[in-house]
Amino acid sequence: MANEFSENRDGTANSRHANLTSSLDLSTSLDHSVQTRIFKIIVIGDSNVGKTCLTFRFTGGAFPCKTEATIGVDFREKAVEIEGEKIKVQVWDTAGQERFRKSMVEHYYRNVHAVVFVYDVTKMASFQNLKTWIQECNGHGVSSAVPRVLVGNKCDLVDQIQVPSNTALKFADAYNMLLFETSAKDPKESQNVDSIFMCLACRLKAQKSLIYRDVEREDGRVRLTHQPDPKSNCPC
Amino acid sequence: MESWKSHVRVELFHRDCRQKDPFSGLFHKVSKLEEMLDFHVKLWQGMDTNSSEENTGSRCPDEGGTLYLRVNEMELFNQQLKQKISDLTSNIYLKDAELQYCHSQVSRYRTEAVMLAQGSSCLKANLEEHEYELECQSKELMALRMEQKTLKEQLSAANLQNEQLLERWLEEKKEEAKRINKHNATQERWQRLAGCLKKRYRARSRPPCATNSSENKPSESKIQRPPS
Repeated sequence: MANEFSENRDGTANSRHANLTSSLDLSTSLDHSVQTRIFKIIVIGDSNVGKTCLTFRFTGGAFPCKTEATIGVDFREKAVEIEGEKIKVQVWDTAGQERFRKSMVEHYYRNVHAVVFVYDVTKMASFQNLKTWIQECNGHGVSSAVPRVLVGNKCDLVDQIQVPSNTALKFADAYNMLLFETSAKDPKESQNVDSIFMCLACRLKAQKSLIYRDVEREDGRVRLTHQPDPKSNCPC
Repeated sequence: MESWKSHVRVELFHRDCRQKDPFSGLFHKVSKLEEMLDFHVKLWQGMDTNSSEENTGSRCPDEGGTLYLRVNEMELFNQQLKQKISDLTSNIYLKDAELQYCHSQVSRYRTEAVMLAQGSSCLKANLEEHEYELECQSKELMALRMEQKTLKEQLSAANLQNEQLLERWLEEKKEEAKRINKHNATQERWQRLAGCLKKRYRARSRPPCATNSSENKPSESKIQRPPS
């Protein structure tokens, strides 16, 4: 009788230990999975405006010497830490030529978190075509709540600039976008390139935090009820 | 008289229409006769002057005059013959010069002919050479056309392969995009679920507030303040 009691005690302890271990594993797993948030950012614009170089500058920290036309899409990722939280910025370097992006467009815009429109400051045509790109973006169901930024690349070519900053700023204001003028080639501008994506990541983090807070308030049910204003939440 | 002249003129015109050369010959003949007449008139006038100066009548004037006329005619003919001989001599010289010129021309033409013959030979040789080259180039052209055809076929095949590769690459990119989108969606759902679970876990791991409040109450009742 005494032996049976002691055996029961041992079994209970073992089960408690197992539960504790599994709880710890679950906690660790939850922590790990929670820390790996992914933000999908697509970079679109005319061919040869420097999309690949921009994304490579951000993810690789260097300017690629030889670049070719992007076929379909190139995926690049960079892990960043914002306010103690690890975030994976997933950059989709899209193709600018129509023949290299056919049947891919819908995949570009699926569940996109942010959009980066790129034009070449030395080519007015690339700036004028931004309206087409914006129409395409709107035509694929991208919400207006999705942060969008306008990037003028190749600003190091000072003597060849064709798009004035004022014109670009007016355009950006008209479409409720932030304007960045940078150069993927100039090493001095690398911080600006990083700031473009970091700003988006910060905005997205703040936006997602509010969304998750609203989700948590639903007592277990996943339902989004509030769309925060991107401008007010942008720390930049 | 007038009618006769008209008749003569008509007849001469008719003869001229029938035989143009005799008509011309007639004019020539008349011209000669007129010249002879003028000459005779001059001689006759000269003879009259000489006769008046000479009073002797040893000879018969008619016979002497006739002989004089004949002598003068002969002299005139002689002069004409001399002139003609001179003209013919000049013509001979001219003809000789022309002949020499023709000879020189012939010589030159012969030289030119020789040169042309040589040139012709050279041209024939060149022509044969060019024909040979043309034949070679024709063969080369055919070979190049065949090669071009082959290259075009290869280019078409390469373009087709390139298009196929592009399609495959795009398809693979599409599949990759689908996978990544799916992964992102799963990750996002997992994020939401993890957030909820984490919240629940934290809620469960936290001690209840009622227990704390019940435990605090006895301690408060035990504390008593001393009377003032």
